[in-house]
Amino acid sequence: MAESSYFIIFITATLSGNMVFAKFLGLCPFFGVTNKMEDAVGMGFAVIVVQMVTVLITWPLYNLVLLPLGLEILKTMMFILVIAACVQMLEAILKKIAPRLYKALGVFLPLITTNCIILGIALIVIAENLDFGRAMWYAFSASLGFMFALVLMTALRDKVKNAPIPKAVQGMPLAFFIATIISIAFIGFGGFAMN
Amino acid sequence: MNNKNTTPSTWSELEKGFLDQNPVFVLLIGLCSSLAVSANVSSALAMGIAALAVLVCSNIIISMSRNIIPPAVRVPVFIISIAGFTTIVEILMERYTPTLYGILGVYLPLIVVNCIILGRAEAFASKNTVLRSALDGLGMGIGYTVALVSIAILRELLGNGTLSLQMAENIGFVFNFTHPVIQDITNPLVNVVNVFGAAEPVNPLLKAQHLTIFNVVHIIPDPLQLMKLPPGGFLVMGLYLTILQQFTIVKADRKKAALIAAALAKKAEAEKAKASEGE
Repeated sequence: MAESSYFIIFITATLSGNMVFAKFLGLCPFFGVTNKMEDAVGMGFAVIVVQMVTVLITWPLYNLVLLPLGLEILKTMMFILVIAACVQMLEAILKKIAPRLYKALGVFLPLITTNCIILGIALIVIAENLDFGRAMWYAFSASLGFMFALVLMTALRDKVKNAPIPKAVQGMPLAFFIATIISIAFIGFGGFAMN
Repeated sequence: MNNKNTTPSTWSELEKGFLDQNPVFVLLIGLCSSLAVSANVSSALAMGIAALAVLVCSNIIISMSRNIIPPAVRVPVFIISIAGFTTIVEILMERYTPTLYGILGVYLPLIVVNCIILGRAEAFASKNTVLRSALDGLGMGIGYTVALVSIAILRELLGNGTLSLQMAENIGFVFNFTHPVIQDITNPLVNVVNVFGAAEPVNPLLKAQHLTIFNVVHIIPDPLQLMKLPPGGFLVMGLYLTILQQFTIVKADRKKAALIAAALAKKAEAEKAKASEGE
């Protein structure tokens, strides 16, 4: 992926390599906050913002500090610290300069620290050896794909809310079956996964 | 360790992770890694053991230092100690099982953000003694491993027709449930054993480190590729959850029926007593 065009990266990150349906990252919020559309959209935006800020810091941190010093093994520890700090700072800044946005995203921000998507993408862009521009673009497209998955799931769960469903399948099992079907559809984009 | 009636026994700390509070099937946490690495049994087992090790170690450390950590900064402290143990596991796996390390890839460092470990640290280890926390970690870790392996068994069996226990490409065992493999005498790295039926010819070139394939029974004529792909993970998980939910419903119904029967019996008895009083 290190040399593919921005368009290919976008398609790979949002559709064929979707965080939820192909990489199983961020399943907790995917099943947790997909009951109401506002929650899904709020969570999606919060992830996009935090993800961009995180990669903005972790990519230079890894390539300019850890790599020259030969401390690659510390990346997991450093990245999780950066994410925790980012989330805290973002919370404080938003509270001060954009109280309305803070009200909308506030509930989701603390949850994001332990969301595997953020750390996952920060590690993937390092593992894939992307340059800075592509890393940022991948981070943006992947979190956009996550938001897309959340919105899709919320809409579908809303549709089957009043359907006559056997007792044993109601709730979580049904959510998993819906995810199965969406996931099969997303595999169809697999042809785009070019190197 | 005093075992009063008010505190649950030490054994129950270990036991609760298996079924009552199974992290994956009941609490539905740690789903990301459990679905991602369960395409085959070997990687599921490796992931389970890695998470188990991190869980036990971090529970012990956090429980030991629970009185020193100021409450305001406890979560960062938990995360750092978990990240430390994860890094140790990463280094060890990279050194001793490089193939599995490659397969687990990005999901190995993601143990840090696995909700099970932080959840147990916050909810249990920061409030209980070292022994109890270690047992709790062990129980939860085993519950997680069992859940992972049970998902992986179904996925690999239906998706590939095999069950594998491999350390690397050429070390380990594979149980084959699809078309029987025939012994290739020129290949020094693979040995084939027929569990039922005629013995295969002995391979003279066989090396000490080799892959053993057991042809068990031919019960899966056509493995379904889909089960190995991501949708298979969601599907198998959905199936298991459906079974569990049905089980819970049946249990609740039985309890209700037993209660109603008891109430009816009581009523009948009371009426009987009334009738006898009347006489």
